[in-house]
Amino acid sequence: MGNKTVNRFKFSLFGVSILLGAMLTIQMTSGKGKDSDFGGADIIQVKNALAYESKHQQQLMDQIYKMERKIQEYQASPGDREKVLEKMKEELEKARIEAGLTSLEGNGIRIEIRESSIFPDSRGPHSKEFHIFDHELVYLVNILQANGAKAVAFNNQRIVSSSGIREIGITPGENNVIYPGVMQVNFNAVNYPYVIDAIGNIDKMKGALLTYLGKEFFISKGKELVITEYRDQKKLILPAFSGIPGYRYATEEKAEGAVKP
Amino acid sequence: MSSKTRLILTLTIISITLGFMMAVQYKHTQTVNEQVSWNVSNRDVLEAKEKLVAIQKQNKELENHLNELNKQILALEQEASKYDTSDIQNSLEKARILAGTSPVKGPGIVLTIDDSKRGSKSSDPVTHDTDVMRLVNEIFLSGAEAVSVNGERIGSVTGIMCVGPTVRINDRLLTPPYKIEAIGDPSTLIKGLTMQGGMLDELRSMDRLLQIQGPKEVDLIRMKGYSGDPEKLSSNPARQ
Repeated sequence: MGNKTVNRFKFSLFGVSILLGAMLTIQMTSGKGKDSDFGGADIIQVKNALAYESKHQQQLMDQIYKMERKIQEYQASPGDREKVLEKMKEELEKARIEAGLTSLEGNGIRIEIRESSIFPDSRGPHSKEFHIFDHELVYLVNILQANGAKAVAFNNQRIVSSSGIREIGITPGENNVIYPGVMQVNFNAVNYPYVIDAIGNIDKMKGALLTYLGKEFFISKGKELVITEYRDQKKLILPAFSGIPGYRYATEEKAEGAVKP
Repeated sequence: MSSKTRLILTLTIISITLGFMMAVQYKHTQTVNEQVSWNVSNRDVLEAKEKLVAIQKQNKELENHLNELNKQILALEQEASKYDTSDIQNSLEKARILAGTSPVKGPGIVLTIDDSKRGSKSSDPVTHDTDVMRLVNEIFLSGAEAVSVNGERIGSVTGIMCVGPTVRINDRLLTPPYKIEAIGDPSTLIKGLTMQGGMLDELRSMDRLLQIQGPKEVDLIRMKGYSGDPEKLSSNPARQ
């Protein structure tokens, strides 16, 4: 084989190798990316997000309009503090409802988690798979809040923004046995049956609860789930939050140098 | 076999390999496109994404504007109640902080949770709604006075649910990393969150390899008020 042929072979091999390398690189880097920033998400996800953002935009515009009107009202009575104070009283009533500091009534559902007749007393030690954990109850409340609930109470403890649900003193034993502790809502003890009342969109709340948890979830734990609807004449009444809100660290942020009324 | 034949044979094998790789490459790209767009053209996806980015930017600006208006109202109320003896402003402030409807500031902590790194051998690499939900529950139990997740304020009826790869909070679809901010006594919050057997301990000990940063103390946290559907917060008081 002559030198010329060998060189030509070497060049061809070199060229083909470069091509092969380039293709391998493309191949290895052309996978589907992470979806977290909708970067590689499918059209359904993007359109879903678009729908949520469009709805939010409308809500923001409505709220801005209301805020601007409120500022105008406050500024329309310069020196008339009484008028502003009167409006603040109205605001206080609204804020108390929004915070959970007022007892409410409305259409809703009552969810009862009872110990079934075939299951031994849950207050005694029992197998782990029969235990209702605090985070499962947090999830249940969360499902309602994310799906049409306007207000929720758990064994007459009103759920507010700072509410927490926790079982204290739960101890794992041998052979998968649990020694139950005390379930607390707003730092108050609650016992079986767990009764969760929720005012809001009945169909949405009920549908979500049965979809995400379902009766089977409770049956498998030796419990019974009973959902009762309260509509029109027979409305649900939720208690107000019984705690006293006190804030040592959080303060409302006010505008500096705002126009005086 | 002559050297010429050997050369032709080698080149043929290389060409066949190249052809095979080109075919694989083409098929793979097609599959990815199908997964990404469900047969919708890439241009449609790109357009929708551009729209989404634009509307998200507009909403951010509107949220900031709303926040400023909110602060102005609070300042006007403070001015009007200067000589008021009924303590109405104090009651209003407490109720609004509890409802999560007004902008607040104060010291606290920040905690970030993200999916595990791409390519990691995690059994469950994604951050779930239940992870965020349980962390928020634990933060309040540790004494937090106000909490937000990626800027979304947690109110009395805020739900946290998964929608595909995102987490829906106050009807907003949030994507990881999830930055949880909490106002309260930083040392108490950190103590509560880092307790042995707590949620963070559980998340860290699992083989999910989620990326968790914090809890870290912050001198001043600023949070916007709830800006979602106002209808969700309105209800009828019970008749006495």
